[in-house]
Amino acid sequence: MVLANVLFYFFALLAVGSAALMITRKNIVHAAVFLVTTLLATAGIFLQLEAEFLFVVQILVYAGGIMVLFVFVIMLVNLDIEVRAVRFNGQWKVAGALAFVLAMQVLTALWLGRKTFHLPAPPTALAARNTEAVADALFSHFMLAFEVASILLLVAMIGAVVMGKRRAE
Amino acid sequence: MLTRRNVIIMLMSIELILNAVNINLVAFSRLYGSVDGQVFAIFVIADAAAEAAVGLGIILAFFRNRKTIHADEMQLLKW
Repeated sequence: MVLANVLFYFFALLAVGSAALMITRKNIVHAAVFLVTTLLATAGIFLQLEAEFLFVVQILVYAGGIMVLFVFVIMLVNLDIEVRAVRFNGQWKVAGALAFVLAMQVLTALWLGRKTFHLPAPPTALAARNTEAVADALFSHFMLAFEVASILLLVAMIGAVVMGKRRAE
Repeated sequence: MLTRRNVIIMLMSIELILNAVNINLVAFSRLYGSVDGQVFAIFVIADAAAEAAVGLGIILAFFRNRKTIHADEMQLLKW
C-alpha cells in the first residue's frame, strides 16, 4: 500500500473515531479533547488534499482558537453535578435497526452503480503554490465576500464581548 | 438515539458538521482543479469561529442567570 493511502486511512479513521467518541462521552472535557483530535485529523486530510493554506488555518483557527474558547467556557461553567440526561432513550433498538437498513440501502445503491463513477484524475497543476492561488482568488474574485466576512467577524467580536460582560448589578 | 441536552456539546457538534462540509469542499476543489472550494472553506471556518464565540457568550450569560446548561431547562419563553 502506498504511504498516501495509509496516511489517508489513518487520518480518516482518527477523525471518524474521535467524532464518535466525542458525542458519547459523559465528561465534557473529554468530549472537548476528542473534538480537538477530530479537528487535527481533518487538518491532516486537508494536507493530503494539497490544501496547505487550509491545513494551517484549520490548526490555527479551529484547534487553536475555537477549541480554546470552548475549553475556557467549559471551565467557567463549572458544574459539579454531571448533567445526567437520559442518554439512550428507550427506542434505540428500533432506531439502530432502521439506521442499519438505510445504510444497507445506500451501500447497495453505491455498489450497483459502481461502474458509473467517472472521477477524472485530479490535475497536478494545483499542487504548486497553493497559498498564492488561494490569495489570488480571495482578493480578486471573492473580494466582496472577504469584506463581508471581516464585518461579520467584527460584529461577532462585539457581540461576544457584550454577551460575556458582567452586568453592573 | 443519543439525546444530549448539554448545550456546550450541541455547539461542539455544530463544529463537527461544519468540518464535514469543509472536507467535502476541499475534496471537490482538488477534483476540479479550482481553488474556489478552498476559499469557500476559509469562509466557513471564519463563520464557525464567529458563531462559536457568540454562542459561547450566550451560554455564559445564561449560566450566570440560571445556573444550568441543560437544554430542557431553558424554557423561559414557553407558556
